Parts: sequence; C-alpha cells; structure tokens
Amino acid sequence: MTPAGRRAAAALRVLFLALVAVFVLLPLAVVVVSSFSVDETGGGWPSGFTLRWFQRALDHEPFRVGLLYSLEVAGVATVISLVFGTMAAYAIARHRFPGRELLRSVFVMPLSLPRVVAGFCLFVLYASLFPAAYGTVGGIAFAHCLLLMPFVVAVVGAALAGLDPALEEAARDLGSSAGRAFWHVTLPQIRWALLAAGIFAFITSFDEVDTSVFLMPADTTTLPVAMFLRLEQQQDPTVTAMSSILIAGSLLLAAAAAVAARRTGGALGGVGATAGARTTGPEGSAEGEPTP
Amino acid sequence: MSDRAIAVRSLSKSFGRKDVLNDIELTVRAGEFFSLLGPSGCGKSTALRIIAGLERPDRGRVLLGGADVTGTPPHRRPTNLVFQQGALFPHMTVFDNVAYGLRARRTGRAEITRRVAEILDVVGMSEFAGRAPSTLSGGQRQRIAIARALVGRPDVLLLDEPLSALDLGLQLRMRRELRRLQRQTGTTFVCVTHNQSEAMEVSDRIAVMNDGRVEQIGTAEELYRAPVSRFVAGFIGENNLFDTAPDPGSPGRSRADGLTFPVPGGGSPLVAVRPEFIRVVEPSDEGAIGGAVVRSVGFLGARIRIVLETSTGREVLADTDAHSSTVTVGAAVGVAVDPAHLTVVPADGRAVRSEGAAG
Repeated sequence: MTPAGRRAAAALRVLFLALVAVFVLLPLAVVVVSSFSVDETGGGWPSGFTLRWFQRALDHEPFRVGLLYSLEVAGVATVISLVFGTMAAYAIARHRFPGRELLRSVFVMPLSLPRVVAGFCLFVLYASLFPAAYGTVGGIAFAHCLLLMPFVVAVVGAALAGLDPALEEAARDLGSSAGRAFWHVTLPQIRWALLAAGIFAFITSFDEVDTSVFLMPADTTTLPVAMFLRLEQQQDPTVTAMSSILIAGSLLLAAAAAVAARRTGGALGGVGATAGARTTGPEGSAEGEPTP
Repeated sequence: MSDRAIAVRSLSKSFGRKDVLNDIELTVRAGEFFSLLGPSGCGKSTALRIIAGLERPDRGRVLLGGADVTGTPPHRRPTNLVFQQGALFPHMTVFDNVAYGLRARRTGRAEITRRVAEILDVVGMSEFAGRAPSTLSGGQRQRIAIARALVGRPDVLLLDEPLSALDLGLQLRMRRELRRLQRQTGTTFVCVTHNQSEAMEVSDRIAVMNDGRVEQIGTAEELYRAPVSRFVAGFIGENNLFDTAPDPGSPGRSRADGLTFPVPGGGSPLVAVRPEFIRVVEPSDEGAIGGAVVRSVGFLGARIRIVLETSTGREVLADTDAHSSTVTVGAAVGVAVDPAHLTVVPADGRAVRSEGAAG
C-alpha cells in the first residue's frame, strides 16, 4: 500500500471509531444535557441551564427511599453472589466430579433467559410458596443473585484457571489447612477479579428493572423501578436528572472495574471492556465470557 | 526417628480406569538420598504426592518414621515438597515465601528471622530476601523453593523433578548443590526424576519405576551392573539387548542376530552387553562371537562410538577408548565380548552374571 493509502486507511479507522463512540455516547449526552435544561419538555438545545431538576430529584420521596432500597439490595446481592459464585467457580476449576459440566451450564443458564420471564417465574414462586419474600430486600436480592452468579462464576473462574494449583498445594504442604491455604495464597491472587466481578455485580443489581418490577409493590420500590413508574405518569426532567446521576455513578464504577479487570490480566480484558461500555453486567459477560 | 524414614506398603492408585500405581513397596532409610526414576507416566510423581499427602491412595499404607500417616492431611505430615516449577507464592517476597511454613506453624518472630536468614545463607540467597519471586532466575527460584521446604526441618524432603525446568549447565551444578544440601542438613531426600544420569549422580539408592510398578531398587552401580528386568537393562545407561535362542550345534551357547553368546545352561535368555564391553576385532579373531560391518564411527571425546551392523541387519553399539581405535566405516570386523561382562537378564527375579557373579 502507498503511504497515502495507509494514511487514508488510518483516517478511516479513526473516523469509524469516532462514529461508534458518538453512537454509544450520544443518547447519554442528550440525557445529561437535558437534565440541566430549564425547559420542561425536551427538543433542541436548552434555552437556559439550571440545577433545579437535580434538587427535585433528590427531594422526590420515592427516589430517596428507592436509592437506599437499591443500595441495600445491590449490596446484599453482590456479597451473596460473590461468596457463592466464588465457591462454585472454585469447585468447577479445581475438582473433577460427576456433573461438573452440568453445574457449569446451570450457572450460565440464567443469561439466556429473558429477564422479564425470570421475574415472572420468581413472582409465581414467591406468590405460591414464599409470600413473605415478596417486596423484601432479601427476596429481590435473591432474584438478582440468579442474574449475577453467571457473571461472577465466569470472571472468578477465569482468574482461577490462570492460577497454578501447585501454589495452594505448596501452602498446604508447608502447614496450612486447605481453608487457610485458600485464604493466604489463592484469595490474594484473585482479589482484582473479585473486585471487578463485585463492581459489575453491584451495578447490574442496582440498575436492574425487568426482573425487579415483578417482585415489589408499587409503593416501595428500588430506584430504577421508581424512575420507571414515575415516567409512566409524568415526563419532566426530574427523571432525567436522576438518570444523569446514575450515569455518572455507573461510569465511575465501571472505570474502576476496568482498572481492576486489567490488573487481573488479559483473560478479563474483554469482559471489562464490554461491560464497561454498557455499564451493565451480564449481557456483556455473556458475549465476552471467558471459559473458566 | 526410626531408621526407616519412609515405608510404603502395597500402594495402589488409579485415576479413572488408568492404574497409575500398582502395588508399590518402598523403604527409604533415614538420612539417605533416594530417587524415584522412570519415564513420564510411570507413576513416580503420584507416589511422591501420596507420600506428601496431596493424593490419597486407593489401597495400601504410608508410614513416616514408623507412624502410619495414610489418612493424615499434608499440613500435619513431617514432610515438605519442592515442586517442579518451584510454586513460589508470587505475591510474597522471598523472605515471606521462606517464612510461610514457620508462620503456619506459629513460630516466634525472632526465631523466624533467624531461621530464614540461616537457610537463605545455606542456599546462597541471603541478598535476595526482599526480592519478588518474579525477579529471580530459574535456578534462584528453585533454590528458594528448596529453602522454603527445608526451613521447617522436615524429616523428609520430597523433590518433584526439581531440576527439569533448568538448562543443562545449571542442572549439573544444582545436582552437586542438592547433594551438598542433603549431606549438610542430614535430611532424608526423596527425589523424583526422569533423568537417569541425575539419579545416578546424586542418589544413594534408586527405585526404577515403570508402568506403575517398581522394577528394581538398588545403588546406581547395582542397577547398571545387574539389572533384574528388560526394562531396567534398557533404561539405565545404554545397552545392547539380545533375545537369544539355544544354539542347536553347541550346548551352553545361545544365538541371536548372527552372534553366539556363551550362556551357562543355554536356553533362551535375554542377554545384555554394555557398549563399552563390546570389542571390535579382526574377523578371523578366535574370540569373535560373530561378524559385523562398521556403519559409523563417532568421536565422543572420552571415547569413540562405533555402530556395527550384524548379518541380520541388527545394530550393535560398541564404545572404545579414543586413543587405540583404527576401524574404518564399511570394514568387515569381528565382534568380541568378554564373558565376564555379559549379563543374563532374568524374566523376573535376580540378575545372573554368566561367570558366576565374577568381578
């Protein structure tokens, strides 16, 4: 290729990447800009700027309750899915047992289930067998765990697959019980993977609407569901302002997770990049899923 | 500690349908350097891991210093293992790696500092205490792995192919180093290797393993001079093996590949002759046991390697002193064997030397 041709190809590549970036970021930019707009209804460049909608969003009772509720649910779901997801990933990575492949597919299965369907199934389950779980932090967190587990199992599994099993054996040989060997030797080496998986799990749970909407009454809801319900009744930039806050928070966490993913090594880079761009977890992990 | 550091009794292990160990019996004496030698897949590493407690046997028992430890987990056994690639903890410094076992056993801080410094000095790595394992060379890592395993003063040090990841020159130096460490610490060493020259150089005794079984246990010299099986005769050093048949013309002689061997009692034994005991002579020489053609002559430094071909097309290796050989490629020669150096390998049981175990 001639130098001129090479330059043209490079220019095209840059142009293409720029277009992709615009395509991904434009909707977010529109939301962010209009949340500062003085105009109640969108369309065109704002005629002035204000922080009023942010004030409103933070004063709106369902949002304040929902924010706390969402943080609680996301915290509980993240911790539970990290603990059990790591245990499952460890069992799959280190032990040969009958049904190992089956277990692996069971953990990935929720990814292929539409979330609305998952939500409806859980609603039926709670309604018929565990009415006490309906609308509680535990009930929703459990539902979220089903969505988060595949992701945790994939990310932590990939990190474990890159570890030499001899390290843990060496620790046991030198006088540590199996549990202590895991704690002293394996855990420190998968800590970045755990951090990355934890952040993505948290964001996913925090943003989740499709499944959650089935599992709580309209008066006490998580923040995204509260936003969804408010949008149905009233369109003003209050929801837009709340969205901007969530976008900022998600991007910050995603960036942190991407840094963590990079530190765990190449295997997770794909997951980090995919999930980082989308700010939600499981779909991203389904595509870039590393085989543990 | 009893005189027997390790006793392994009728040990068997299979992975799935594959029998990895088949009724293994081993006795290792306290203070000796013992090697498990065999080709890859012979079960030697599995045997070592069972002694360490990292694998459980299907049948059989492991005794350490007289105590049955078959069901004891690895962290309660008086053994430490040096892994093939070292298995140093990458997130810890050299000091913390070596101190790991002492900390796990709740040793006092001052004692830890003293003993880590002491063992790093023994392996010549004192200046590296603060380094990360990733900054060390292969040989340095292996020294640290040995120090980490020795610092807790185990009754038995187990080594799983400790030198196989190193380049040849370093291997040769580390062999002497291992032997020195073993003498200096008086620890019983059990070393797994597939490298027969390594096993022969460092070990007091060697167990030759093949296909999940122990073929023979003995000193390097015993294995070399009196192999008890076809496998050992072929695996330890180089050998010319002949499957003979009785010579109908002359009793007390057996034939194979156009050569006639003096075998007391005749029959169809497996006859082994080392290359250094095969002499190339004039075709008409009285001592010749048959004729051959010289196929190639190679200069190996201390000796010359002559490859002969008998009338049946069989290759025979003959080594000779570098300063006295004048054979040329393509020449027809006679093959001579000193009967004292002709070994009859039994189908099983003990090796019989043809001249009533002379020499």
